[in-house]
Amino acid sequence: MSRFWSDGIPLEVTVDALATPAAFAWRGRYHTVDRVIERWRVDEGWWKRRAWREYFQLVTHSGLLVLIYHDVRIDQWRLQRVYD
Amino acid sequence: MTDRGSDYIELHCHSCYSLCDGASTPAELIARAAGLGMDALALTDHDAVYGAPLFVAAARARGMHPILGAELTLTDDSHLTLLVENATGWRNLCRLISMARHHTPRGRPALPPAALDDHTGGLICLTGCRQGPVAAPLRRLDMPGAVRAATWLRERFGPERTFVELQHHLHPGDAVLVRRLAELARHLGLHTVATNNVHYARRDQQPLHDLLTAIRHRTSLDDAGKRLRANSEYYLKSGGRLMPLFGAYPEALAATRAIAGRCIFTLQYGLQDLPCFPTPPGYDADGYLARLCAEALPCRYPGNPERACRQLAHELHIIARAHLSNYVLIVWDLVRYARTQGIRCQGRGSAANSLVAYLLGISPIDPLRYDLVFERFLSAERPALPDIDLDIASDRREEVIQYVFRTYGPAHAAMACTFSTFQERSALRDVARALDVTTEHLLLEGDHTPDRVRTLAATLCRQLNNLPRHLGQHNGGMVLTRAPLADRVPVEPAAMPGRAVVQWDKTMLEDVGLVKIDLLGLRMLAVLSEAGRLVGDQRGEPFDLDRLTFDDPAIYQLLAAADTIGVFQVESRAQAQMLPRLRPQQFADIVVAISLIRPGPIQGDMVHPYLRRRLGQEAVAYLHPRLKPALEETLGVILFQEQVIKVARDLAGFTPGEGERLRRALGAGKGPEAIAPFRDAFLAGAARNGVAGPVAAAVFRQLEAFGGYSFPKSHAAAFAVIVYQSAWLKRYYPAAFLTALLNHQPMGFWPPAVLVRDARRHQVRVAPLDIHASGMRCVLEMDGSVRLGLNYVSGLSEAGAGRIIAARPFAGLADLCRRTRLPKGLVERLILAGACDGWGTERRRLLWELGTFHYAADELDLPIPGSTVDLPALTADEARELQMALLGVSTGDHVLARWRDALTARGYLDSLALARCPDGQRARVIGVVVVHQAPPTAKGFHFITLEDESGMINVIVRPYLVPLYRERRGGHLLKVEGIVQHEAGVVNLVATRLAPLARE
Repeated sequence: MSRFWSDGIPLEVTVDALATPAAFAWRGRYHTVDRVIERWRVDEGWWKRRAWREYFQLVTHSGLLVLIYHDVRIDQWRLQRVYD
Repeated sequence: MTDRGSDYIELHCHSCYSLCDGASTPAELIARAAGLGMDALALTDHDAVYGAPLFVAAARARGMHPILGAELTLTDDSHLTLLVENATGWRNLCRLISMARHHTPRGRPALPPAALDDHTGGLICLTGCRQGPVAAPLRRLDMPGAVRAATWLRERFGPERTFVELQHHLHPGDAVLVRRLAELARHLGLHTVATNNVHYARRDQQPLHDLLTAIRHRTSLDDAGKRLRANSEYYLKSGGRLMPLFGAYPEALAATRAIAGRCIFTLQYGLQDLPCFPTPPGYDADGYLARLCAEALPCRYPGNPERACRQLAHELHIIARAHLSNYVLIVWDLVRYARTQGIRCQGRGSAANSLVAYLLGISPIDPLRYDLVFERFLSAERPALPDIDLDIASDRREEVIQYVFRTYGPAHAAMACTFSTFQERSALRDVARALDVTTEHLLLEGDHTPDRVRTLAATLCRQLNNLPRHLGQHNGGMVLTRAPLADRVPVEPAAMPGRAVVQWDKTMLEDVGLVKIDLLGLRMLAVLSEAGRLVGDQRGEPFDLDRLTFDDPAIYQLLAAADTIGVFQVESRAQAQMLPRLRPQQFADIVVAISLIRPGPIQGDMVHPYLRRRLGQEAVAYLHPRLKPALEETLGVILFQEQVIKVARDLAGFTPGEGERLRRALGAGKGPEAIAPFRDAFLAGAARNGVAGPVAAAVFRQLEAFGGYSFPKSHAAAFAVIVYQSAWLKRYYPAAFLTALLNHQPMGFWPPAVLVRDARRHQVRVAPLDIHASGMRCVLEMDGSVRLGLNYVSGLSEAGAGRIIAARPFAGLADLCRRTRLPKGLVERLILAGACDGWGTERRRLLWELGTFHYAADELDLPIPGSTVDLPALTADEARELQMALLGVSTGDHVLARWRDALTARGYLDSLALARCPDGQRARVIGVVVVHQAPPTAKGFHFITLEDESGMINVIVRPYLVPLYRERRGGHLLKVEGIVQHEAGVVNLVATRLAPLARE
């Protein structure tokens, strides 16, 4: 079972020079990114509320497999899913 | 950007010609590709090459290499990207698209995969997008399926021409799919190639593309769901942008350049593509053409053929050198066919400049007599194909088209297509549906509160403007080729059964050099045919309008008096204002008359200077002495289309080819940016010729104002023949003329009601509709009166009319109803229109009787024995009103006739009395509004034409009065007070007061 937040929960993320997440803090712990498994981009809904998000499915050195996204328009990172 | 990045060429690219699945024009895509540093680009629209000519032209203009191709839809809904390597490949692509288009219902092309078996030569196959035959099974993890599909393609196209297509649009799963495809390619020994499946040039066009997608699926954006793409990555990307996505597959990026280098096909046709006209044994086309002309010459030029002989030899020489004899023979053959079938037709366009065309009967104009210059048709230096277009009696044009299909075969003949495009205003409805709002909301006038939706809609409408929407059939443009047409250009079924169109429109065909012959329907020619036949019947001997010489003073009197209602081209209000000033006295004056009242000369302000100069009120002057040769024949103003080319040549040293392009650009109305390069070249050229800058600029402004909205002189001359012939009929056989006019409506400037009343003023008797006397169409009766036909009863089909004619006479209403089985509503209309007056029963009583009938589903019961009632008879006014409302014409007296005495007593003048008033006198009139015009060139003035029982009254409404008069519909009575103005034979009433009267 994985945990899923439909609106995501806000996250502090450090990015590298290529705007790829390098580390983030969650529940008082600091997680550094081991590798990005997949990334994708959503850009839709321009006629009402534009959703423009960069998704990253990644593994941390602490062993977490998570899905986080960057809401580009408001420059905010959110955690959407933590896989078991 | 890395080296590898700059090597990237986009090979999978949709333009707006993927109808509603592409947001950018070919030119936009080329411009963007050039901006990204690509020196080549492919165009791969869905199952079409609609955009190819524009794409090629745009690429050439930028020195880029255009690669042609298409994305084909297969019957299993998978997509395949095909690129054209060479001429064989183009032929195969055209055939494949044609097969796909013919294989399934119109609008849903699909190619059976088996068709690929023999048509892969010269084509490079990329395995397609996510929906491709290889990618689709891979996405389902069906490895064997993917291998099978890839192997199948490799067998058809060969390993060197089969590339596994990799696409990465930053969707979840794309990276995995790319990896699997690359692995599969390696496994099968195939190359990979990266593409971006472009659907718009720039990222910010994603909304436009989504909108088009929603429109295509007839849904709102909200409901479009998965049919919209989840992000905006389908724009034209540089190799640098794609590098991070295909970092592991540099060879896939590099392959794009290698493929681009292999696609060397260029699009170009020419005259040699026309079918061969079968000449008699011993003659080639040149020889046969010469023989036909030589045979016709003595008949056309009896007595003094020397000049004609010399001209003929000259023309034949030029035509032969341009390899055009075959072309001329093909057109001659069409004309000959039409004539033998009794179908009136005549050439239009520059052909009328040619003696050859005259001798062959293609053109009705003797070019020697009317100073038409052959070089305007064809000259050694003229690069463009000469056009020989035929005007054909509209009611029988189809027969000529069928003859072409029969003669050359459906494989060699098809119609040009047209693209109907989105228009900014009409697109609003589509945009409203996509945004899920009402059009009323978007249109809310007067509400100036900022509204996000409204702003968005306005932007989208503007972006949609001019994008192609769907395909239609051009009205008469036919393409003929010697090789099967499908080898040259894809052919697809048109909406009309049994009819096919090619995938290019008129201009595109011209651009690539495919010959098109326009077979245009002209209603006036049908009128001339019918009226000529009636005249022959009346005279008791065959009558040939074409034997008329153009020298009857009575005809010129008619024209000068502007007594021209119904006459071709010179009947409009504007013509009627001009003709009395022009006072045509000879054929050449008619040519001028129809050329003057055109948007070009009007906007260019040429009309009044020309008339003043002609009347000697103003000296002929030229902005520069160099303009004299070009403009001398038209008193210093630009009147004819070809004068643009001559002015550009004489003043700025343009070649005829450049001049032609300038004329086209001016006529295309593409705005200042499109004109700017021409202006610069024009000013520079003029400066080289020592023309002062301001003078050159002034001349160019004149050319711009003139635009392209004008006739070539030859065209005007060909039309002038029809003007003369129709005027002749009106003058000598007005009843026959009216009969024919009424049978070919709608046409011309005036509605049938005006035509009828005008004819009545010319002593033509017009008899009302009568179920016992009227024919299917209007006819000329033995006593010379015109009888309205059953074609004027709206809603009455030809079959219904036929039943009336077959079953008459009728004993009474019940008999009519029983034996014709016409619906009650139609019988009611017949009664009200007066068609049943013959029984002598009053119309209201007949209606009452009709009401007592029981209409069972299929059968009519016997009438109930009538209870009698007293009903008032219709008044004459009521009867006329009903006739007007039901038939659109009225055969009774004018509404004002009955009131004239009372009106005269109150000081109202009729149109005849008004014409006798001195200039400057105050006058009052009443008339029925027949025309209300507010031409954009009239600076806010409105023009109203009133009709009373004795003629027409021209009313001029000054701008300050316009807001006081809101009624714009025709047909109502208007009271006008004003000042009489005489100007060179034209009488106008300049209104000072206007007051509409209630009807009746």
